[in-house]
Amino acid sequence: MDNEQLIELAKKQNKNALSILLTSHYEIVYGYMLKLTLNPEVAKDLTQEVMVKAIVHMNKFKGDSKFSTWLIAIGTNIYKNQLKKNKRMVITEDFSFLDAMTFQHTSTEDAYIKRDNMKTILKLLNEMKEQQKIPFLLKHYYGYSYEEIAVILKIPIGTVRSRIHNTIKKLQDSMKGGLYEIV
Amino acid sequence: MKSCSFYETMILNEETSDKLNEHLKNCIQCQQLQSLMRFETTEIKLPDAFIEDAVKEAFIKAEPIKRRHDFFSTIVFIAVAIILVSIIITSLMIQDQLLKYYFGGVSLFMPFTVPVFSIIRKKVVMK
Repeated sequence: MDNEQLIELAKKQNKNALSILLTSHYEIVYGYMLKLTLNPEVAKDLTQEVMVKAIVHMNKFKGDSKFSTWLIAIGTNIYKNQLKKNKRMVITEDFSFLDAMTFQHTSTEDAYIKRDNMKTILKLLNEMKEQQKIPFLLKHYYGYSYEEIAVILKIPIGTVRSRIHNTIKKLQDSMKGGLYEIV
Repeated sequence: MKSCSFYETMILNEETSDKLNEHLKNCIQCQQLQSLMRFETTEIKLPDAFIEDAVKEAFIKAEPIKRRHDFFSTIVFIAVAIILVSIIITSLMIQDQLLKYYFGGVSLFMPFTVPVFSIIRKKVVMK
């Protein structure tokens, strides 16, 4: 059974179909929350909240975007709300999760370098504002188009473009002198 | 060393062309920037049992929220329906009064009210 059929069934309150959908998308959501929070425990809690919200509001999923995009949008909102409450966000950065991360089409040595780069980038991103960090993550880690990011974040495409541009510039500035040593 | 912004400009414009690939072959700075910015990762693998448990737990957590949600949406639906019906009845009554005033005693409600009143009257009289 493909995703579309599962979604149709899930919208008709089919628990099994929804369960299959959520199970197959769990890691994507968890990975995203992890990159946002840099803390596995907080990421697990937030992923759980995304799952609960998806179950409650499944009938509101229109199907005009991918199911994973919808979950990512829910995750983004939950993360932003948490930041507003600012209760659980006092967290310590824990990069041990990067060791468990595998890279596609990459040799062991390259993967080591990429992991190191990723750590640097995530650390720098974590120091930035959410409005700069989130579009960059969605673009460079998930390959979403500007249009999709605009839909997820409910902002104009031009704003997405300029935010990503500013983030890249900031990253380059932050790593000036260090950029070319890292790679 | 002056930094090259060719790759950055191309990705910002979402362009991936032969021109970019050709440029990447020759420009070390852009190659470095590309490897720094692109992460074709596969997400962290979590144990299947963990995911299954987490999803099951999510369903359990969602159940009372969903029930509450359904309850409130029913309440809201009923409230909206009551408000709409009372708005319609009030406007009809106002219209009715206006008709009575201008056309002397013709009531819009007569077809509805007369049978109802006659039933009530009969019942009262029978008692």
